[in-house]
Amino acid sequence: MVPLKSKYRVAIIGGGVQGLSLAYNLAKLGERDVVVFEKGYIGSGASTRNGGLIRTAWFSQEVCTLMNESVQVWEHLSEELAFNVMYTQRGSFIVAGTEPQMEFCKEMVDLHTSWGIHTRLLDSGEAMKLIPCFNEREVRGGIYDKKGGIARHDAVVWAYARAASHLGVAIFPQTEVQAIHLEDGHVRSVKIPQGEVQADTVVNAAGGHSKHVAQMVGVELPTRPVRWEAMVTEPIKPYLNPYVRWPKGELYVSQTSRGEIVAGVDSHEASSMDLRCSLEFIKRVSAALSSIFPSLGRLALLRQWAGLISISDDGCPILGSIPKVDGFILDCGWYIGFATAPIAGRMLARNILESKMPKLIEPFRYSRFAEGRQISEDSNSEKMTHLARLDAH
Amino acid sequence: MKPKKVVCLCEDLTKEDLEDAVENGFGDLELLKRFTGVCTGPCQGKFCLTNVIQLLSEMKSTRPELISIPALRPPFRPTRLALLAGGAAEEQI
Repeated sequence: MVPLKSKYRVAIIGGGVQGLSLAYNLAKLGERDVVVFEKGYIGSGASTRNGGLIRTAWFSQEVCTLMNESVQVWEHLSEELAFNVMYTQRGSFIVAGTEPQMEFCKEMVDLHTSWGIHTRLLDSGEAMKLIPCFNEREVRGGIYDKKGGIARHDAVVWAYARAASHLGVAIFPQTEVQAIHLEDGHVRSVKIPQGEVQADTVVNAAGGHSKHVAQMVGVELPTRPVRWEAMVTEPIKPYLNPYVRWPKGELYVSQTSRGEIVAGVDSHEASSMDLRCSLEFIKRVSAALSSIFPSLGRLALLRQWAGLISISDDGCPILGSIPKVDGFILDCGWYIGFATAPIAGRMLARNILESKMPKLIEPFRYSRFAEGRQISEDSNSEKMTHLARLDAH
Repeated sequence: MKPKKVVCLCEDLTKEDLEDAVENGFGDLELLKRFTGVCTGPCQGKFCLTNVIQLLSEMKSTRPELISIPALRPPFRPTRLALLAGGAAEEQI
């Protein structure tokens, strides 16, 4: 391990996929005086607790465009980082179960097309051909996103950490940042158990803990941490190829390259830092899974876990600088953070080195909340809920 | 054929596999679990965890009780989805 220095140009708080992607991209662009402080082991937060899902079909142009650009990085990521991240572009599918849902999906596909996102509306026959294990009664059709896919979340974290280390980035796991010190409105140093470490730029990439880290410089982020649970079954032979989103059951599910079925359902909890697993969750997922894929009922659940995501007031990430605290950069508010980490790290690295927001991430600036330029409130998770409720018609 | 010393029966991992992983920087049991798959098969560590602790304590020349173990996750034993989906009484699960 490299020795700890007393001063760095950039200190990143959080050794998850976002912080490590940023560290790697900074070094790649020539800024190698970078340190990453991680409270636990690398990737110990949401980065290795998520479903590993990647897609381009979402509900606002800003997010779709970011995801689409990210997919282009994903397609060559193993090569770029010289580490197999087990990325497979197996497509993703959003199920529509009723006529009103089909109409909504058609509108979404038209929107996607106008944004340059290549999704397609499938009818029930095409959907059943794509995913023969579906319960036919629940499937009228849906949105197929052939650019969707999955990657192995742990491998992605290690790949970025390794590539960043090779370029000279210092990574310190099991090292918690306890305070951030300011001088004349500019960040000066961070306090870790070993002492004070100076930095010109401090990045908050602390995931579920990012609200707490922002409070260290007196900033109240418009985000809340939320517990998000997941579960995995025993491995089986190839069964489900695309990643499936079933709004009626609030379910998302994929089969990993190892053969396990990984699934989750949306969380409706208020703000929480609780990492315990719940029985309620596995009952909900099991009910949803065995409704949409009846043949999975006999499969055994092996393990469940929980992680924290950070949801902002408009459901979108918050990136870049903030007024009043010079040198403090946000990389927060992620709940689409895994899929977009490859592009977000690249864009934020440019933001830090060029002091100019790249156009792609400009909509996600912190000041949007003060300017009243939030990404349309009902554009993301709300639309998914809307899609599910169309079922009642 | 070289004899194998199998540490994890579910994931078919030998002592050598785990030693390689530790030498590659995955010596923290949380990382070793994710890198090799040890403790993630149907036994969820019930057979292999003590073997792994023993191996790590030998490699790190430290007492077994000083090796921190990964978080234990429910359920206690593999449980069929249909049972959970059917809203079975909690004590049966």
